[in-house]
Amino acid sequence: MPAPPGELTCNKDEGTCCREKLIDNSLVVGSGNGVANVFVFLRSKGKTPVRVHEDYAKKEGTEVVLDNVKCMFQPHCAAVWTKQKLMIKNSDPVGHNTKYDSSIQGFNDLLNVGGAALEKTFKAGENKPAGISCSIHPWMQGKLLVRDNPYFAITNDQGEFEIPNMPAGEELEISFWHERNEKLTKASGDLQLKGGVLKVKLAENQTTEAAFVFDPAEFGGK
Amino acid sequence: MSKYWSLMALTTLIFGALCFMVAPTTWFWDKPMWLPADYSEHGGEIDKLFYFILALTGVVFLATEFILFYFMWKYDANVNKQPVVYSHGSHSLEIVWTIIPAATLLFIAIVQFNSWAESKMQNPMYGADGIAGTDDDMQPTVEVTARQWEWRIRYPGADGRLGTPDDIFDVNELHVPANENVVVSLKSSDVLHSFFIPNLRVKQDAVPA
Amino acid sequence: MTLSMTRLIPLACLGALALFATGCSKPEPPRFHLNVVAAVKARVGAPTQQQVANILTALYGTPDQPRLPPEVPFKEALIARAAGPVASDIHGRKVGLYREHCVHCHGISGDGMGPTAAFLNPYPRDYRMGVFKFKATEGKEMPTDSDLNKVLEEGIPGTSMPSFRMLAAEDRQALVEYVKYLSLRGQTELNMYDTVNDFLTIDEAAGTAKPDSLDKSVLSDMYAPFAGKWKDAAEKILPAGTVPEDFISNNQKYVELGHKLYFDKASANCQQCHGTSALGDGQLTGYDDWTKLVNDAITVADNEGNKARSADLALIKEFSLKPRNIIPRNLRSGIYRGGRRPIDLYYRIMAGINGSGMPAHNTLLKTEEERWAIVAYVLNLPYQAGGALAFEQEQIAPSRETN
Repeated sequence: MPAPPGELTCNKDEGTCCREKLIDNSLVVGSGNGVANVFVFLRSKGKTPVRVHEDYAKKEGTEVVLDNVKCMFQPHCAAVWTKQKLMIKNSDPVGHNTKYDSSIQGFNDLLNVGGAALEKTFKAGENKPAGISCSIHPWMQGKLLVRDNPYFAITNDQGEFEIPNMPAGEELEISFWHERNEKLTKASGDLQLKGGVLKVKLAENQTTEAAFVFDPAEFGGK
Repeated sequence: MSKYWSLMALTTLIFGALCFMVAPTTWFWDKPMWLPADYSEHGGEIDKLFYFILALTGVVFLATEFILFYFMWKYDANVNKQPVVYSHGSHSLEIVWTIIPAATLLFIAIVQFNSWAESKMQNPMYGADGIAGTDDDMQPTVEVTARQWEWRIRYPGADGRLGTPDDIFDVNELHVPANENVVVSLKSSDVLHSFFIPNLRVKQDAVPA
Repeated sequence: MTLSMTRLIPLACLGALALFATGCSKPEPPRFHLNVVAAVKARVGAPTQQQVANILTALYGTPDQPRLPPEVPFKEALIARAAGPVASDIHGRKVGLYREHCVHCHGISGDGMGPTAAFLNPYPRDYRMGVFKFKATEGKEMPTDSDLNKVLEEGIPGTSMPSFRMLAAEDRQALVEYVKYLSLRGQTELNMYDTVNDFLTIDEAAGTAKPDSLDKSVLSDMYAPFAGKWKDAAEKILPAGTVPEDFISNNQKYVELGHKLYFDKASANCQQCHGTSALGDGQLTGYDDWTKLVNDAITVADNEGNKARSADLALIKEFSLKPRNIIPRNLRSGIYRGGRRPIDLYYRIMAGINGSGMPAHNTLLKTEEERWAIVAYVLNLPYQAGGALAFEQEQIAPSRETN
């Protein structure tokens, strides 16, 4: 069991931000040892575009919201498809800025108080999540994953995720990523990771459930 | 070969003289290794001083080296078999060769008073009354701040006053009007720097604080 | 003449001097270093690092013999002039410009960790992330050639970066191309650490890493996105309105509006970071991007599950400079690092300053009047009471008598 999370140093806009203790949410573990905020996504192999199920057509153009609430990012981890829009909001009475540290499509934009949401669209998918931060309140950290296919998920509080309608009949490589140690490579349990990816072949209409048990060292614990 | 050392002494004389003769030419290098062109009014004074001292010391140098060579040649141990003579010195000779250099130095000191006063003290910068700090002093034409490793330059702008929002800033390129007196306000933001414009014969230390 | 000791010694000394003047054996040519901090952060082991180094050498050559990957739009002839040891040809045309002018601060790999770097505040730029602060392009785009040339020509006041205006324009352009080359090389390396599994077969148990087929398209993926960004830089210049006609004549109006916007939470809200007195004391605990990389690497290395923990931490310490906080600019100093023309300040504020915490304000400040108002206010601050540019002291030597 990893050590209980520490407190973040809150040293700006104390009236708004420091009223409640700010807990370091880089590792959130639910009851039953489920790890939240793990990114699970399909690795695109080479240049062949991924077959996207037609059910995902209704997801195109939808919004993923990243909010600044009480000087923390809400949600802490977000993922967006290149066919979706990222809407960045500021629900606090103080100004924030949102800095996205991607090497190809990063940005750093100011969010005022009471202003409209900032809309961001992305042209290309990225290999892994990149950091989101606020320069005015440096303890605010998050992760954003941009993908060019919709096959991704982020584990919830209990460490559960679901990716529906994946391409069947071909070998898929799935990556697991957590902000503490980035790519997760050592797992036991139902399915094995090889070379840092899970190779699995799904048959038509097969729903595979699996539990992935990760070595606590992957998350910076003993 | 006898007289080896005397010939070594002769090389000093010949080599030294040759250096000064060859330096102003372009026989061996692209630009003459001599004084740069002078575009200032008062620079001539300083150049005159330089030439005067060069001539004076040059003559003395040539004479001294030649005398050295001559005596080494004449009294070389391989050739001159006379016993050594110990003399008790010559009082009058000592007086002569003390007084003449002292007088020369005094002369040089007095001659350069004028150059110094002209370039450093009797300065149009101090206005008609010649006193620093009074109202008729010239305002700076430009403020030059030295810092490692460049010159930061600030001009007063259209209103003629430094410290107003219309100041113009530049780096490393100093533009001043020709044929006018120019006052440079010289500062340094870190260490001592030497503000040297060879073609205007201007050199002044930029002192921090 | 007889050859006695007193005659022999000076001749022998001259002879020895002549021998030494011809020089000793040639020293080893310098080599690029890997971005070790990034390698530790990406948990890339030594065998993988070796493969990465081999590929980088194949793509980019060495400091003495640089080369460019195919279809990279940089000028190879200028890069060749800036690379290599310092020398000059028969006409006095210098080569090895980078090593003559830049390497002592910026390092042979462009890592900003040359021999003098540790003594400087701020540290010299590390080109390897492809992040540059002073440019006219939007957000996190690459700088244009003209932006880089401007830095060389003007220097960066307030830092140790001097002006190189005394160099010929062609020399400066050669240095610009070489900086872009080093930057692209660094960006390629960082990208390779993120995608090792795409081109290497790594056996952690055996401690080996073997390249898979490294055909052109695989190699091209490593650098092409960044080369494309450099190529497109000229098209990503922030569309800036022109300075308003009454900017100088009616400056006070803009200064007053800028003053209002400076403190307005619903608008620019500069006081949050730059402080209520504009002294830059609003937020002192942030880090710039280069320091964040070091801090992130330390976080990755410093956990008990890491078997090579102390070795990794020692490596990071050896290959990085001591982390420092990044401080928002003191706006009353009158020192503008990226240039002091109104348009320079416009670019800094509207596009933000890449690598620092300064965000882009162009999505927020929609009208040109508001934008130039902020610029006018910032330009005016050093001339207000207590500002550094107000010319307060008497500059001519004071007289001994006072009236």
